[in-house]
Amino acid sequence: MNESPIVDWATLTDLPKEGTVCWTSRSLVAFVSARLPFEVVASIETPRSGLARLVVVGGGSLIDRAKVWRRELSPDTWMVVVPSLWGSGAENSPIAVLNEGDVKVIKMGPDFLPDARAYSRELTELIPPEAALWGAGDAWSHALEGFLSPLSNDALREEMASFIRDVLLPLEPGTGDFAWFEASAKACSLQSRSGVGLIHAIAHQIEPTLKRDAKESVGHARLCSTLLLPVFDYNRSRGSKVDDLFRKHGIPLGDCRAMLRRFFDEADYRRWMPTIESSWSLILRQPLARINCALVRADSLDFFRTFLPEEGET
Amino acid sequence: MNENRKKLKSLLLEVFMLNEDEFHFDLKKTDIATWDSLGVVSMAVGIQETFGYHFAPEQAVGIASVSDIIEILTEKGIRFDE
Repeated sequence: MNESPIVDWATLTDLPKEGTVCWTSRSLVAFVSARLPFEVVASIETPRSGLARLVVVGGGSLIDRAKVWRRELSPDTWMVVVPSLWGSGAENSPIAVLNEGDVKVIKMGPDFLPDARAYSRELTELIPPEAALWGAGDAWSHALEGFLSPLSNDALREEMASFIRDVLLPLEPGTGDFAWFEASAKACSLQSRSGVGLIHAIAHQIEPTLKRDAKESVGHARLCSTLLLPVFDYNRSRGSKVDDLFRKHGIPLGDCRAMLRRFFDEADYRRWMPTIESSWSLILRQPLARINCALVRADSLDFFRTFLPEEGET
Repeated sequence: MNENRKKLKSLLLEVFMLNEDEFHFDLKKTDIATWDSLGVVSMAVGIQETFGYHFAPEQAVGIASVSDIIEILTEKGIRFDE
């Protein structure tokens, strides 16, 4: 099993009150307390182990913490996850990404997959427009890197191509379309069967550095959104592989690139470039850079330094 | 040095993160700590970009030395002789 089943948000209130705890982001404590009849634990705390049921309502970081909590401290707890934002797809993947100091640690295994997931339309209305856009970019980064991964194969690529063509491309980014939740979950589930690449390698490397040195707290989804276009163009610059795969699997390359252009924020990119430059030797050593669809070399940094968004127009 | 040998050496230095003085054409997989599963993927991607030859995953995993790479590419008509 590599997907968690969907349950109706409205039915969560039917869970037994005894033995059920809701773990949620601090900003959602009031929202959750008004809707679910369970003891609420805010994200800065940790639920006690041995619970019968845990309802997690929050973003990707909290969901990943909950996956690890369940696996390591409370393996018999039944866990349902309700994402407060789309993009990470964490509610539907057997992967957990944790912050350990300045390092992002990736853990993977069937035990990390939640037992169920649910989506709340009311939560959709709380998502700010820029976060909606970045979440969509995060989903695109999973789909594209998973499709292009050298660890993928023809059958998986065909499944991903169909998803990109028929689900992602028609979805308007930056809007509160509820369908983004399911699309993000699918993108994450698909990429977990192959892998991600340089977008995630850069994002994982510079996110803690930006926070520490530049005092800029930039979330993963925002980083991935802006990195989509330059990394896509970089991969294309290394040979015909990307264009060949798009052609072979019937994905309209021009439409896709136009979509990635919409996620690119040039001001963010230029501001982050000094951190990308100073982190480059560490980025090269990131496992995700080593399984990128194009080889990432020391001199590849020149491409990113001089990247102009309009040059790769198809 | 033959141009293809230079290209292969440059590629493997980057893929396996070696210093120039650590490299020679008799190196075996067991000599290189970074010739792990990630290194195999990276090497296969780099060889496709550099020489246009696509290793099947099972073929890439089976490569045990730099000589094996040269032998496979030579069979595909890529010349490595001096």
